Amino acid sequence: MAQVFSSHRTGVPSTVVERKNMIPAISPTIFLNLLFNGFFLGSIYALVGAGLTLVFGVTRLVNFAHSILMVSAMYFTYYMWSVLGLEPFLLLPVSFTLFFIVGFAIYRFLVKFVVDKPFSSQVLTTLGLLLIIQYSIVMLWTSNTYTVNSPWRDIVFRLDGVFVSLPHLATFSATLAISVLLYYFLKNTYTGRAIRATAQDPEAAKILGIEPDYVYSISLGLGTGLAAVAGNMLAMSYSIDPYIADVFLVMAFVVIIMGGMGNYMGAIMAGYIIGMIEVFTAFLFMPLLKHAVPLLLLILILIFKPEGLLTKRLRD
Amino acid sequence: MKPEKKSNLLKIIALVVVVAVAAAVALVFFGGVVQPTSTTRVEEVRIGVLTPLSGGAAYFGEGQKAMAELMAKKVNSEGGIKSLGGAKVRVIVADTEGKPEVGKAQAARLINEEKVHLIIGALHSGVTSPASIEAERAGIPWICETSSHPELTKRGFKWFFRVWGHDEIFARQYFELLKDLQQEKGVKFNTIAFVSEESLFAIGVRSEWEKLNLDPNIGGYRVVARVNHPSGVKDLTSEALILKQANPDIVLMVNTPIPDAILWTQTLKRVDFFPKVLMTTGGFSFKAYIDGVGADSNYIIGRGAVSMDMFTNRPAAKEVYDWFTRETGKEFHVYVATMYTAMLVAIDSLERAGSVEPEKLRQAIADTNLPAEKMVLPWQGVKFDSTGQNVYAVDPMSQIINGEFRIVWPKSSRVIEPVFPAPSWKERT
Repeated sequence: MAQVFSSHRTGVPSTVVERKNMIPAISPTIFLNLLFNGFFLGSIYALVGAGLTLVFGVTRLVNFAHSILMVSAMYFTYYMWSVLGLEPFLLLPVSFTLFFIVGFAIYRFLVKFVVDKPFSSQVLTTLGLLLIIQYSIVMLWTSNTYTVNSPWRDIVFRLDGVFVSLPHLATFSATLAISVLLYYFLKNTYTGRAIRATAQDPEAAKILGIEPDYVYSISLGLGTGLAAVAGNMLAMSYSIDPYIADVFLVMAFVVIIMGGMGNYMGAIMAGYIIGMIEVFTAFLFMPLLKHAVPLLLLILILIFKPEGLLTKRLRD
Repeated sequence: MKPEKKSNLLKIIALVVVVAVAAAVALVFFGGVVQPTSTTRVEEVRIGVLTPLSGGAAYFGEGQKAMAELMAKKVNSEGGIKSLGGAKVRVIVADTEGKPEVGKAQAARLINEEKVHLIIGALHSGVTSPASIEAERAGIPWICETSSHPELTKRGFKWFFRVWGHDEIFARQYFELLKDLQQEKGVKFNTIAFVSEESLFAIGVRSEWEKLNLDPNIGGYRVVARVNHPSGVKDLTSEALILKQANPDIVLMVNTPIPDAILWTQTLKRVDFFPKVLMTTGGFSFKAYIDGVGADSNYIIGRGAVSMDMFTNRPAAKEVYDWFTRETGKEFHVYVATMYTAMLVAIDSLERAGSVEPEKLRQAIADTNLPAEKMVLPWQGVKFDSTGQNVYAVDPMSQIINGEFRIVWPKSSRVIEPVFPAPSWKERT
């Protein structure tokens, strides 16, 4: 039993704690469980980060309201489940479409007016939007915690001590599918190419007949749609309250900086890296460090590779 | 320096000295007159309430705010504070956001700008600790309703009172329950694990548990794992796997946020581990937690839950419970109950003091002696010791059975047979 913990995790008298190994043993079963869990957590980070970075890459707008839009999608999922009995899995396309429209509208009615303005105006606008949505939720539904108690949530596939829950598997699959679809969309469709052209040079794109407002609103729609997918998936495995947005906002920024600001594939890769780091740090060293280690890595990246892990940008 | 200038300077210094001496004499002789006394007519009594209304603990704060305001409304509708000529009670609620620096700034604002006569607050030990320094400096009484970190009443503060118990007292209950139930059921547990998040409250509780476990007469269980994790986490699988691999008989877990408590339960189920006894405090003690996980909440033992068993044979307490839930529609959780008690102490003290003069009010609070019949929780009453700690606060231990908090310890208060040891996840299906 002694290999499970070590006194460096504890800081208590050594008479109580057996010190045989400083690093706990990790069996293949545990390793696989951690790996699968890293994929789940990474998927959430990847989805949140990818949406944020897509918006930034095209519009150069840092959208602080991104995480609260994800939380709004969680509330939407909860209400669709509790009122209409719709399973979160089935809601995925609905959530994406609805929040695509929300993102589109946010651009047309709000962000459009600050997209050319100084950075401080953009920050205040999106931060203001975050607070408006957050406190509207508090006013409408108080700060109560809600949970989607779907029977699907409890389905766990087990094999020789290795387990994967259905919500986790669904989250990973959805992330993979959406990442590939969006990548294809950006590479091979007219709108996708227009988005990349605008990201590369907005003026040149405009001369070629691409309307920036159209591209920007589509981008914000797509980014918000991705956040909604993350929220939809997360609602199955995480309880909902208005303040969990804060938990994700910080990590979303770590993801997009690590992946290279505006780099779609970089954000997805960074999401998985951070997910894995969190999961393995918590098990092997100390759960308290699991948020600190990704931040430490971020500092190192900012020093040695400030352009991010992947330098190839969305526009390329 | 020219002689003329020198003489002018001397004149100025002399004038300043004379004015200063005159002011000091005036203060000594007339100072008492300008301070409010029992004969001064008081229009209203301002009670500052510090509680989190945003952030992860907003759910707790919303209940507290509702209770404080409801109490003020009730007192005012019954004619206000009678010994102050019917002065109305005004509750001024300030949001701490659960953050120490915000709580401290809000306490200063309540004292300096709102001119409150006393403060009740601030739920989180981590907030109460720095914020109450402001009241101590200003000489304003502070009634702490909930914060249970033991150090709070060990600071030698003159103006600080706590109605709720503290974690030294509470921690002992866990080990006493373990001993009693093992004897009763003829089982023996050997290993233990401690789990906590990083708030001052959680750290305080965990260190008290660990201290007690070092004493073989109280604890003496072999520690096989310690899991300290950040609060507000998104995933606890690694932490649950640490527990599963260590396989302790007993897990003592402290987690403040309700989402964390829900996530812990879901994750333990997913990794297929449940210890022989899981004892908790914090977010596990609320109805929202049971609603969140349903039947998976069963068999968890803990303190701090408001159990309907507490109202058996205590109609006055049940009346308070019904009144609050009827008027506000909110959950009557333990922090609502502690806010009720703190407001009760404040109003009782104001009546006895017959004054809002800080020292008189402080003395009245110190002399508080409220009987058990007035308590909404099954306490023996409120009476403060020399450190400002209520000596009568107790917290019965309950177990969640069939989705309800049922009192199982102390045995004298037991209403249902505890399920001990708890069945594993497999045994439940």
